[in-house]
Amino acid sequence: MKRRSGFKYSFLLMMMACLFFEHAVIVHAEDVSYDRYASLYEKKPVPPSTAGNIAKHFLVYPFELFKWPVDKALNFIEKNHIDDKTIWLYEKMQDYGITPYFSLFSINHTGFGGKFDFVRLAQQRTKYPNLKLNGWILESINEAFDVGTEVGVERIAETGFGILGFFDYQHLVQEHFYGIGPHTSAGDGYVYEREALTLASILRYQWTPTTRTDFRFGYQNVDIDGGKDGGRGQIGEGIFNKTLTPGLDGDDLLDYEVEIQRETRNFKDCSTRGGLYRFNFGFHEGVNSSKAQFFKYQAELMHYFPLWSDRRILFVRLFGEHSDRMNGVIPFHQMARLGGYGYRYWHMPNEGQTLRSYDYNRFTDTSALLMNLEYRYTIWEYRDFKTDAVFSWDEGQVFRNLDEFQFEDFRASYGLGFRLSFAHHPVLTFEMAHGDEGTNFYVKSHTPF
Amino acid sequence: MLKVTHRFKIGFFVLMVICAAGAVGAACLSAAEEVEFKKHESGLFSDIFDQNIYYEGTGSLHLERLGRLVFRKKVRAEDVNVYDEVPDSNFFTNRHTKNRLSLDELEKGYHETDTPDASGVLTVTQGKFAGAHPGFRIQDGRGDTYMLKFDPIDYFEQATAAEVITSRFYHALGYNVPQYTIFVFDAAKLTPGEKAEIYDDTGFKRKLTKERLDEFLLFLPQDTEGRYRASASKYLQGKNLGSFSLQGRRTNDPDDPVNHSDRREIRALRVFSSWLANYDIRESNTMDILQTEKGRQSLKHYIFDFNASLGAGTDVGKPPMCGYEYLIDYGEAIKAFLTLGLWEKPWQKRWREAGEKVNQSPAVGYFDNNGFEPGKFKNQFPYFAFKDLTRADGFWAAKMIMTFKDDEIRAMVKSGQFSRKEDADYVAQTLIERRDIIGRYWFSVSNPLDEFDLKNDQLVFKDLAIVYGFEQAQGTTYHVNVIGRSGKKKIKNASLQSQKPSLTIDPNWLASRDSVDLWIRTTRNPSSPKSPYVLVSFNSQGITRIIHQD
Repeated sequence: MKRRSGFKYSFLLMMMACLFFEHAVIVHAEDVSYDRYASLYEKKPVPPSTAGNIAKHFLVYPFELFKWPVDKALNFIEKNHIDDKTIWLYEKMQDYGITPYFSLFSINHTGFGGKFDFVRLAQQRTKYPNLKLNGWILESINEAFDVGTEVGVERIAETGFGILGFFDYQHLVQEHFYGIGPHTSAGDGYVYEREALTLASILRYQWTPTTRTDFRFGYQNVDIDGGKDGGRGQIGEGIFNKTLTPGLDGDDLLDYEVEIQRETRNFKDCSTRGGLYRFNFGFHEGVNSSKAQFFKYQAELMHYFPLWSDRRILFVRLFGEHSDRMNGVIPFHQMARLGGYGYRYWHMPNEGQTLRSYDYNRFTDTSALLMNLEYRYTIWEYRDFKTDAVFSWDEGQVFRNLDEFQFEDFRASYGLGFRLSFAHHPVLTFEMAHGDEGTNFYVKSHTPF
Repeated sequence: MLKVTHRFKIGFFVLMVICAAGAVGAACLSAAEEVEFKKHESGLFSDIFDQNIYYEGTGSLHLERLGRLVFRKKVRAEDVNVYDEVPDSNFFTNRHTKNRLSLDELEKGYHETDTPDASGVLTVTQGKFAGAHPGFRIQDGRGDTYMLKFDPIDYFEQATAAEVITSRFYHALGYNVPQYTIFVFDAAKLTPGEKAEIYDDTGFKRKLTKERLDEFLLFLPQDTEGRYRASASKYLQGKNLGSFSLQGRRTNDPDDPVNHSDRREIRALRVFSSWLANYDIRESNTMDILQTEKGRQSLKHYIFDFNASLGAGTDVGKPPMCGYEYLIDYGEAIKAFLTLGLWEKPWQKRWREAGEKVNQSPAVGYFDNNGFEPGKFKNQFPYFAFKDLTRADGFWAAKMIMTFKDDEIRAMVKSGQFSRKEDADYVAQTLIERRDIIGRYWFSVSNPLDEFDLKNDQLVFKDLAIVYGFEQAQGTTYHVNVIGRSGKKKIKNASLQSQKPSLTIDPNWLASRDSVDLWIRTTRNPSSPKSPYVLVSFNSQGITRIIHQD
């Protein structure tokens, strides 16, 4: 019995020793013979002198003048929930089908306008989910005015059929023309004014949610006039005359088109998967005094290949267009065009296809072949914000007929850019592209593809 | 002649203008000195602009910083005492390391009341019904004011537990924090105050009505009994004077002589934040409270808002890049750019391995130690203070972290009141492992010798890397250079080595010398490089100085 209690005591002692040991490995301030937390300083902290401060920081003072108002403004915005109010206002406008447009990159490129979904505006979207009644208006000072509407039913009685009507009036005051063919010179720039009225009706059949066929019948009235851009050639000068450039008198055209389209992109603007595949065939005939008569074939294939991650995307686009003259002519404004970023405004029929180091609509001819290659990869992410770096390579040419096609006529454009997006919507893009005619810089709030 | 006179007049006039401007400036300056403790405003937006854009751009224009950058000079914290410790101040109080807190004290943290008094009605006086962390202000039966913040709808307990638990850690470490408690209540107790206004998702101020309150509560998670759970932070007594700078100082505060980026406890927030995964340490989450103690007014500096710590962050858990990158991280972006996106960032690897989703319990969020590297932890903003953290600062912080025993960590985690024991265990275990990872790292990059004392003819100390089991005693050697000092004159007395954490003091070292400096470096095996130094000075009175190399 005694042995047992002896054992108990030894066990207790052992436990206490263990506890002590465990405690001992934890550092204790009281272990040392001095007050280690005492306010004893080798050199008592003193405020830095004003002169010392000035000497150290004088280079920064001019920038402080900038910082102060920015900080004040940002604090005001946050304190008064201006950001929340702005977001709410924008979302409310979206709820009501209004998408505002502003462009403030420079005084010469100031633009404003909006897109309107009138069904949403009337709060009837739930009642009429397939009804389409859209409108748009845009004013870009010294550049463009555009107003239009789209009316129809996307799905009639839950079938795949839909019907749409389209109206658009467009006035572009300084369009540029450099001649027809692959060997034109950037120095031979001409300016003209283009006024276009388009009326069209579209019969659509939606095979699947991603695939559709459109039958389009339309009327176009295109007026060409002298443009406003000092220093450039005007109508009648050089090659920009009626003999060498068909369509300078303007045209009235009837369009008959059929288009098959399949779209599998996961996001419309900042897609990382899927693609868009489009084939268009059309017959265009001049009416009234227009002598136009031609067939037009267009094919566009674009695909986004994720390279083992959604952060690395290889984008490939192939575009081809050819117009076959029948008994009439092919007006220059209906020809295939290459040059520029590829997206200026919302509705730009016959917009120059993306060839970034060249000016907008730099090349014009009856046929065009184009390849766009982009390698995009994410370099910064924070929550829903993302910045992608983009290396681009555009390679394209215009030509008249297939027998005139020559590989050496391809024009290349190499580029680098950065695209900031929020929740897969582009916010701001900076891009530069270099080719044999120089370097172009783009600052946009959208992407070309 | 006339022209000369005219020029002279102009010159005289310009001189007068400069003098007048100088006089006005001086007058303003003296007037400013009289104005005490102006409110300092800051917010998330200004923090983003200042820290991610402005200071990133102008940082090298500060000649002092440029010098540090060019010469890779580490700047020693200015508020450390002769023993390489941070004395108590209005920023920091040595708590657990100085006088060990009991488990109960650790669990309770800074404590004024238990929770809001819900015996009567809880009057809602103000609120923010939108954003990632919505909440409202209430007044309880005792007349105390609290801020209640809630969890995201599908992540019950995540943000509230994180906030309360993290407040316990910061408090025990020594920082001033408001009182945080988990508060569970019935909606029936809530009533809108007469003048109560809220900001809803429109950003406009609206009168708070019962309907609006009920509507807000619809989007909050409830427990099995239909009650709501919030983290309740008690409003502090005293005048709120806004945030404090993590860089400069209040020039008119006599208790604030050191630029905050040169305060060790501010720099070390980076290390403590790495432990608690609290990436959201920023100026707008700090607060200066004017308090009167013993008839003297002083500013007490608080940190608050911890609901983005541990696994919490936004309405779906901590974003995966948090802790790895600044909000705008130019360095990481450039690295990614130059490697053409082929380099997988550490957080991207961790996120991929987690299946690109929060892989822990909803109450925990995204919190694990997979790929955790303490030295590379980044807060949301690249404050100079965090960039200036030296090895000595890191060692100081790490040794404080290491003082918390497992059961003490569990006690603080208990304050989060997880309903599932597994969640509490997981968080505690992750913090325990994280503590050791931090200790191992900072002790390896510094010379982890501490607790120097003179006993008889011995200088004894502790090698914390051995104490905590990160290194073996066998093979460890302490290399000591003994330098005698007489005035400014230094004479090398001896070089010696010791295999034990003690040195025999030769009485001759002090003969005809004012003091002796011991420069101690450590090697863990014969082939390993020598560690940074620790300088220990002593004289006949005892230890006079301890410096860990920065």
